[in-house]
Amino acid sequence: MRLGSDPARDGQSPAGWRATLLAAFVAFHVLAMLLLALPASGRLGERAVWESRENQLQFARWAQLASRLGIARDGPELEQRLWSLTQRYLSLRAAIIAPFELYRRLSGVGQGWRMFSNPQSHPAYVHIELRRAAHFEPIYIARSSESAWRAEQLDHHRVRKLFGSIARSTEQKLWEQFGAWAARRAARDFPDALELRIWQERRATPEPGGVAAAGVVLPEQVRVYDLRALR
Amino acid sequence: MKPSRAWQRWRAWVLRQERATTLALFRVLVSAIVLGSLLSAAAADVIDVTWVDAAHGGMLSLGSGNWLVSLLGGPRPPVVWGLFCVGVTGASLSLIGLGGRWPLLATLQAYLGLSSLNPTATGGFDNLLTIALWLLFLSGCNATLSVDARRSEGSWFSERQVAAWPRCLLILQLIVMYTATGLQKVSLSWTPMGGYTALYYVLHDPTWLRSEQLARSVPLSLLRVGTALTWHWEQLTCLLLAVFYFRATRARPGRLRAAFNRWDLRLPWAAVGISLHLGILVLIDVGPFSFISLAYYVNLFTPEEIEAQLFAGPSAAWRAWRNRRTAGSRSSPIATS
Repeated sequence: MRLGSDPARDGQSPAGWRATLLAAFVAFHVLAMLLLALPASGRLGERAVWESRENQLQFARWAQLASRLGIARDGPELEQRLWSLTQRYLSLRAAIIAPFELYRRLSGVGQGWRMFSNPQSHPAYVHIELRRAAHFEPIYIARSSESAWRAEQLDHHRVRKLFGSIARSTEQKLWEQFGAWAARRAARDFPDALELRIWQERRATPEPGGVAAAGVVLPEQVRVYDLRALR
Repeated sequence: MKPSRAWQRWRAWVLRQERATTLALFRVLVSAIVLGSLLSAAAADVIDVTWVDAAHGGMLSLGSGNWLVSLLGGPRPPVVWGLFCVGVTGASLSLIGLGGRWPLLATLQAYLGLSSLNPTATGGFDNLLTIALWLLFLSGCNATLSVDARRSEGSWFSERQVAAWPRCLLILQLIVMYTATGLQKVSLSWTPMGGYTALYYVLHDPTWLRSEQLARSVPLSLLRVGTALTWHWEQLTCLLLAVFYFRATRARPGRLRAAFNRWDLRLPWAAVGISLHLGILVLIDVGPFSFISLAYYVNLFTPEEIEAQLFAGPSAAWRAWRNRRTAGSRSSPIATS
């Protein structure tokens, strides 16, 4: 009997060792689905992610409740307790899911459902600027219709996810690889340009019902690339 | 219950059969979404950007890729575009139901090879797509609404019975996905203590926004209601298990069972889900996540229910096929209408 086939049509009885194997496989799949769905992410084990601005804010907010319950006195103590608990949990989870890893890799039944689990209160807007003469001028700003160099690529949801990952963590490598890629493309698209600059504009989302605070934008993660060297 | 008896019941449940209409419709939807996902990436010129290694013109250093990409020589343009072509061809064949189950496996492996290359460019929708392709590959979804059915039986529609467990696993997958994501929404802003403001913050994040102007025009009160609805609805999705169990055992006594079966609770659950996904579609760009999530919803319904809706109009083909149907077709294994 083949998987998903009609036993009657195939002229085989549903009974027998093949049926038992099929039942065992379906049980295995259900178990794999449930265990792989136990929350985990490589980022949970990265200290840098825990130390990101957004997560530090979350610890501070939850600490108010935790102190009332006598779990931790402040944000750092709560973070430390959660860190050791999480690392023990990740080790246990890794041991539990080990028998299902090969199946996950070959069949694509991974269960990563951490969707919008921690909305950002300080999101970052990506800026790309070009220097042809004395000053830099913007050629791409996230969600801008005016500065929209290669917007079709950079605004595609797969590339947006990269920007989101960079903004959420303190990961430098991805940002620098993006900068090098953008510089190579800009050197080709703008033959007269001298330099490319990328940076992130961190905006504090105003409290719900509040008004956005006007202030000087402080560029973060500034990188400058010499385009002449790339031609 | 003794373990041996439980095992026999499980085995009997796995061997249950139903017509393939629901799975076939799901196959068509999944294939179309895979095609859309791949072709939209090609149209936006992001295939090389996201899936080719930086050493060969891509954006990031990607390593050697999964077993298939590694076997083919790593994330170089010929390998990536080769997988892209296999994915598009396989999804096209699966869409029309030609070539049996193998195009589904080829599509799965090509898509898996591509999407596993760059974890920063993947989303939950990639998982939903690969899981769907795998379970469809294992199912008999080509038995109807397919060129294969037309060639073997002379009709686009077939009454062939196929295994029902793949549809049941797809329902379970939907329940696991929503419940798991609901339980992982631990930010204070999802909770009453944070004022149910999570969607307000999501709509201020440029990573997801379709239009700042559109996002800012949504009233805060609506966003609070949307946040509360999303969070609680996702966490309560596990109750769908009880809904299906009580529907499948409706002949047994019990007040709780009777209460669950008083209404078809799948419908209000699906109505909330559809509303939330339509909101996502309008306001934020998360790729084909809403499309593939909603495609899974068809599995909530039995082949008989799908046929009644799909062919409700004055379709001559459907009438001709229905007239040929033999009496006493078997009922659904997990839900009866």
